[in-house]
Amino acid sequence: MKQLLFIATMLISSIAWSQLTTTNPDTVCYQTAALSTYTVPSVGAGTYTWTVPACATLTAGQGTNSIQVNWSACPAGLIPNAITVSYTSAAGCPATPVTLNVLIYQVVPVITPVGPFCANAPCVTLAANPTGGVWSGTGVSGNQFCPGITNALITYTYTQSGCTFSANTGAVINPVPVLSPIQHN
Amino acid sequence: MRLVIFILLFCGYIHSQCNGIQSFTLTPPPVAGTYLPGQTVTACYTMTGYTQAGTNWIEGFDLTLGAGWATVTPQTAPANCGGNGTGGQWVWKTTVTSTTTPITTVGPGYFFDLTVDGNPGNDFGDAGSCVWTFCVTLTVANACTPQSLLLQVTPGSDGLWGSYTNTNCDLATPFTVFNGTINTTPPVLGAIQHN
Repeated sequence: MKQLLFIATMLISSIAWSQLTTTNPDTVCYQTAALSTYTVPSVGAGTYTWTVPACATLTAGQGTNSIQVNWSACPAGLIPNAITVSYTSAAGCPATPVTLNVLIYQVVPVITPVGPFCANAPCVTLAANPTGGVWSGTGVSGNQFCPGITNALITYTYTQSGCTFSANTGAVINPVPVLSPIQHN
Repeated sequence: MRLVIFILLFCGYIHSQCNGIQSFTLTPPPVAGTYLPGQTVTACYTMTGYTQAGTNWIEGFDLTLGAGWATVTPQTAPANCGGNGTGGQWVWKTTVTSTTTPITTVGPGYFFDLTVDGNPGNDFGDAGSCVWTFCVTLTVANACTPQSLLLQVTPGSDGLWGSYTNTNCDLATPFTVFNGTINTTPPVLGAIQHN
């Protein structure tokens, strides 16, 4: 019974810890329009001062222990010490500032070109890098493309770390030439 | 043995320590000898009994405050020991200057104004031996340096701070209520969370 209680306690502790921990660096999707909320536990009624990179916009919360940031204008890549928060108590006593690195995460999927095809040509297997994405478009089923009679737009969507990236490629479909009946001149 | 008894009596005659039993409460109590910047503390002080050597009466309770206290505000005054028949009242004064020599200025604190003219320094004290209790509220300064939060209460006779001329109770001994400092431990921020 005592062992079960210990295991339950450890499990609850690990859950609580996972809920309170943000991985450093923090990951933000490239060009996302969604606002990111950042918080530090309140340590009093003093003043919190946040700084963000020039490419980011602090949209709300300056002076408090929670802010919102728009990262949509930031280039892809790691931004060291992207967010810094400092605190000064009502008595003017400063706390040691805390920082967070931010990774603006971008993946550019590359599709292996297909075609050109003749109309109604046999289906081909689509390929892209990185693998694991989802194909869509006219004539697409799974990772197969079956040419029809007109050009097609093929889309590849790849999702990782909560970010979604996509790429397109066009498939040229050439009509099958039709011979006229033979004439006896 | 006889010599020791003589010395004790002689000292008592010259400058008798007339104070009764002293005690205090601090609300809230300090933590590790400190209070936080901006914190409010209520201090209550009690003295039980007064020797009245040479017919000296208690004239007042003078407060000594460390630099870390930003404000001191009177809350409840001591009760009049002499009763209504003898008149007078305990009043809060920031300064009181004695009439008797040597002229002394004390305060802030509670002092007994026998003639109720607003000047406790020009008359006698509170006659009798009672229980005197008063409370004050103090505020800790908003400071990041460990300044002193010393709080002492010095009972004084009317022969010292009033108009009486007897010196038997002139030995004013401070009673230390608190001798701590401002807690200057810097706040510690937790990690930034992306919600």
